[in-house]
Amino acid sequence: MSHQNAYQHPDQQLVSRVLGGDRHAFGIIIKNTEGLVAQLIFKMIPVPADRKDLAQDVYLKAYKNLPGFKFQSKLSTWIGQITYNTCLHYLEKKKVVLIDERDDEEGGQQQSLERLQQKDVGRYDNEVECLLSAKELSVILNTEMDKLSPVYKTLLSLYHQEEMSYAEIGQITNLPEGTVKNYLFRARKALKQNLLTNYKREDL
Amino acid sequence: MSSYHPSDNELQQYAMDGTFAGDELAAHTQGCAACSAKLANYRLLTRQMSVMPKPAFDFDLAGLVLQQLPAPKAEFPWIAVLGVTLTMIFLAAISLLFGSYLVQLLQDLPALFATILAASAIAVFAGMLNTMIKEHHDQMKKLDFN
Repeated sequence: MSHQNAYQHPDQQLVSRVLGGDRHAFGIIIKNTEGLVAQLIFKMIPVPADRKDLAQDVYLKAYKNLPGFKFQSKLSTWIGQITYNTCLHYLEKKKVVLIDERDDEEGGQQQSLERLQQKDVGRYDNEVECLLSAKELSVILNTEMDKLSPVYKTLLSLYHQEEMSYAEIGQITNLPEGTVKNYLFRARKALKQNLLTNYKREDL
Repeated sequence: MSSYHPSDNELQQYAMDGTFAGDELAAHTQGCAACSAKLANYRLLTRQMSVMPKPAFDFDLAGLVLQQLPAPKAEFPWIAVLGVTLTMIFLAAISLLFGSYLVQLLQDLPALFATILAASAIAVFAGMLNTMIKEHHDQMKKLDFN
């Protein structure tokens, strides 16, 4: 039996311990996954005061449903899925728009920006870097990411910060891989447009 | 100069994974300043996003959650059940084998002795019941339902 346990995946060992009544093991699961849960909640929930309750709600749901977890994905992915669904439910109740089509629009200012790039290309080599280095890169990027739709900024965080694959992101968000990839393209483009639009004029 | 310009998606993909691009795209971005600028922007964005500080909760999430977990269910008392079952089997066997002798023995006892025996049995039973109720109350007090 102990020989069998030695070859069990850490997720399986932890889940078995929790199901056997070991609360400490559930504490370990929380510690192992709260980074991902924080990432999702911070990106999807705009009201800081609501984040604490939602985070607790996520883990209480996970504990309740743990006997039904079939290891078809990583435990962290499953908990990410619960988090994403909990946040979606919250946003739907608050009637928050999940994907704002304005994020995908190219405004008149952007078009002129593109035209400018074609005309005066020498000046725009790595222009975002020039802008951002003068404005504390990560602060500005964070501010502009926050302006994106909840789904877009969540996908960007999962892919670029958590380094998840399209498949894993698809499992968490219940979106097809192709859609995840497409939304990521749109999100990066919208982020770039916002940065150029909001920081270009005063800095260049 | 060629009128070909890679799409935004192609440039993004190239920015994230240089090996993905075809020769045409790679050659174009070297010669086209506009596409080269876009590529540089996307490279910077993706690089910067990967090193941004990750958000973290400023409270003890595990502590808060563990406090709220329901009390674990008591395990089924297999040993007690086994003990009771064996005792009942033993008593049933005794009564089957020696039942008639026991009845005769009880009938032959003086009335006073039988009364004392019955009273003692009731007293022992009442004492045990009282202890069980006290233990139950103590255990209920220890449980924190808040």
